[in-house]
Amino acid sequence: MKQRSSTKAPARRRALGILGLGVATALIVSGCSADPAAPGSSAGAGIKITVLADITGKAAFFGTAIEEASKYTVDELNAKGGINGNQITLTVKDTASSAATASSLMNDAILDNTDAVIFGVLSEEALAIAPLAQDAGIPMINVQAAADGITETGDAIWRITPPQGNFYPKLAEYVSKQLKAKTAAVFYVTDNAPSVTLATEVMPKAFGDVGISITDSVSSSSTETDLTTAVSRLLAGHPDYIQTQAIGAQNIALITQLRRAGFTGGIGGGTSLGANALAALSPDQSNGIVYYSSFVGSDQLPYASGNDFTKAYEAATGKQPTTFNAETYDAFGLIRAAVIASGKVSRADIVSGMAQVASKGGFAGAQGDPITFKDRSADTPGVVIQWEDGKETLAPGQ
Amino acid sequence: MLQYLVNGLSLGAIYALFSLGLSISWAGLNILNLAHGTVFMVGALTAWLLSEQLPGVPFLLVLVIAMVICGLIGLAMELVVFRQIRRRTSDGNQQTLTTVIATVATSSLLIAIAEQFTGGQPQGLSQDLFVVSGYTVFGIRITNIQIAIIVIAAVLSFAVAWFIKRGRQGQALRALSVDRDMAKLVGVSADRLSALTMFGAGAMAGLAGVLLAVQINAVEAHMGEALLFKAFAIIIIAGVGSIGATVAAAVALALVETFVAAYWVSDLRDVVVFALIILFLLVRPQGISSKGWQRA
Repeated sequence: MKQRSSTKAPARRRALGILGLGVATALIVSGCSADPAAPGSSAGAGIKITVLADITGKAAFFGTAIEEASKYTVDELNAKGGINGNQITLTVKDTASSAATASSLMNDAILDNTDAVIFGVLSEEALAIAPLAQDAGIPMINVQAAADGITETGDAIWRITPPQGNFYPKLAEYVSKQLKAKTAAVFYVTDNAPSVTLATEVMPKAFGDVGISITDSVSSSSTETDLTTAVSRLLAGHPDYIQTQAIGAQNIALITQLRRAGFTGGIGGGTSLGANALAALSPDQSNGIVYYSSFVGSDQLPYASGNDFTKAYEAATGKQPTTFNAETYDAFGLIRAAVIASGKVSRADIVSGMAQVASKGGFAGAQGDPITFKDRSADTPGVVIQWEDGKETLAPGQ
Repeated sequence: MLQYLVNGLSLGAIYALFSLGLSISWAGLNILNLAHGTVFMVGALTAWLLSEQLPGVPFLLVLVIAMVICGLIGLAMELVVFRQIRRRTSDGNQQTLTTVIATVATSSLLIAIAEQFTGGQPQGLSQDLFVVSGYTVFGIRITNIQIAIIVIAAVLSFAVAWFIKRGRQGQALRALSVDRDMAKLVGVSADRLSALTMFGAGAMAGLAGVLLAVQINAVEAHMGEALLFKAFAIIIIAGVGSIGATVAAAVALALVETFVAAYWVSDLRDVVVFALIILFLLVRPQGISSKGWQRA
C-alpha cells in the first residue's frame, strides 16, 4: 500500500502541476478579457448590469428597495426592446452592508465582464469600491452614498442622488411659510458625516436665511438607544419645529418621545426619515411630519416623467414607489441615456456617454425633467414630503 | 437638573436589568456571553411580533412569554453549545475562547433570523400594547414606563442579590464559580445549575428588551449591541458577579452619561464611559467590589 502510493506521488504532483498551469493560464486569459473596452462592445450583443446593494445588514431597508426597483426597471426596459436593441442581463448581489463584501463583489463584477455597476447605499462601501471601478474603467452609478470623495474618484464614478444640501432651502421655506415656525432645534448623529454637515452647516444657514433661529443642536451616536436626555434638551428651548438627522430606529424613538412629552410643533427630517421610520409610528404621532427628498410617489409632481413612473410602478408592483425606487430607476435611466448618446454598450462607451448626457442638459427621469448633473452628481431641487395616514404625499403649498 | 436625574435613574435601571444576567453567567459559569445583547433584542422582537399578530394581547402575558422565550434561548445555548464545549475541552483558556467565539456565532445567527422578521428595518410597537402616560411633578416629567422600569429593576436586583447570597441554588452557584470540580464532589449538580443560570440570565435580558422597546417604541435587529458594551463597562467598574455593585455602577454610569449629554457635548458620553473603563482597569481592575464570589 505504501509502495503504491510512493510510486504514484510524482505522477500526481506532475498532474497537479499541469492542472495548476492550466488554471493560471485560464486566469490570465480571463484577466485579459476583462479589458475595459471589451465586454459588450458590439451593438445588440446585450448589456450586463450588476447591482450591488445592501440587501442585508444595517442598511437592508434601502438595499431591498434598490433590488425591487432594479427588477422592475429591467423588466420594463427589456419589454420595450432593451437599451438600443440590447437586452439587459441583470445580476443583483448583496453587499451585506459591508465594505469588504462590497469590494469582493465589485472585483467579481469586473472579472465577470459586467458593462455597468449600480451601487447603493452606504458611503463607506462606495469609498472602498469606487477606486476599483475607476481602475477597471467600469461605470459605477451610486444611489445615495453621499460622502465626499466618491464621485471625485474619477470619470467613471457617478451619483444619481442629488446632494441633500440641495433640498434644505426648499424645506426651510416650507417650515417658515406653511408651518409658521420662528424657532427650531435639531437632533443629529455624529457617526454619519453627511448628517453632521447638514445639521451643523447646511441647516443653520438655510433656516437662518428664512428667519428661523436655532434654539439647540443636540447630537448622539447612532447606536444610542436612550434619547430621554436628548428630548429634554431639545424641548428646553421651546422650539416651534424640530429637525431630525438621525438614522433608522433612532428616528422612531425620538419622534415617539417628543410626542409623548407633549410636543405638538412641527417635526421634520431628511430622506432617511420617510417610510423607513414613519411607517412604524401610529398616525397620531406621524401625521403631518415633513421631510425633503428628491422624489415622492405622487401623480401631482410638476413634471410628467415623475408622474408616469409613479403610475407605472404602482401598476406593476401594487406599491407606492419610494425615493430609493426612483433613484434606482434613474440610475438605469442614466445608463440608457448614455448608451443612446454613445451608440455602444462597452464600459468606455457608457462612461463617455454619461459625460455627453451631462453636457447636453441631462435626461428625463423619476426625480426630475431634466435630471441635470454637476460634478457627476445629479442636481435636482427636490420636493417636500408630508406623511399622512401611512403614505407619502406631496406637501401642499410648495 | 432634577429632570436629568430622573432620566439618569431610568437609564440606569435599564442598564442594571441588562447587566445582571450577563454578570451572573460570567461570574458563575465563566461564560462571557457576547450574545446577551441579541437575546435582549429577541425579547423586544417577541413583544413586537405578539402585538402585531395578537392585537389586544395583555402586556403582562407578553412580558412572561418574552422572558420564557429568551430564557429558553439561554438554556439552549447552555445545552447545545457551552456544555459541549466544556465536555470536549479541558483547557480553561481554550474553553473560554471557544465559548466567546460560540456566543458571537449565536449572536450572528439570531440577528439574521430577526432581520428576516423585521425586513431589516426598525419596527414600532403597537401603542395598544402598553399605553404610555406622562406625569409632571414639581416640573419633572416622568412616564409610567419609566416608573415601571425603575421599580422592576429595584425589585429584581434585590431578588437576585438574595438568591445569590441566601438561596440554596445561589450558594451552590457561588461554589461552582470557585471550583467546578470541587462543587460537584460536594453534591452540586453543575449541569442543572448551569442550565438554570443561563435560563435566568436569558429571561432577565428578555425582560429588559421588552421594557426598553416600550420606552423607545422601536425594535430592530441590532438594538442590543450598544447596550452590550455599556454592560461590560458596568461589570468592569462593579467587579464580576457583585449584584449591589453592578446596580450602583449601572446607575452611576447612566447618571454620568446623562449629565455629560445634558450639560456638556452630548456625543462625548461614550468617550467618558470608555475613559472610565480604562481608568478602572488601571487603578482598580477588580472593580468596586473586591470581595465578590467571582473568579475574575
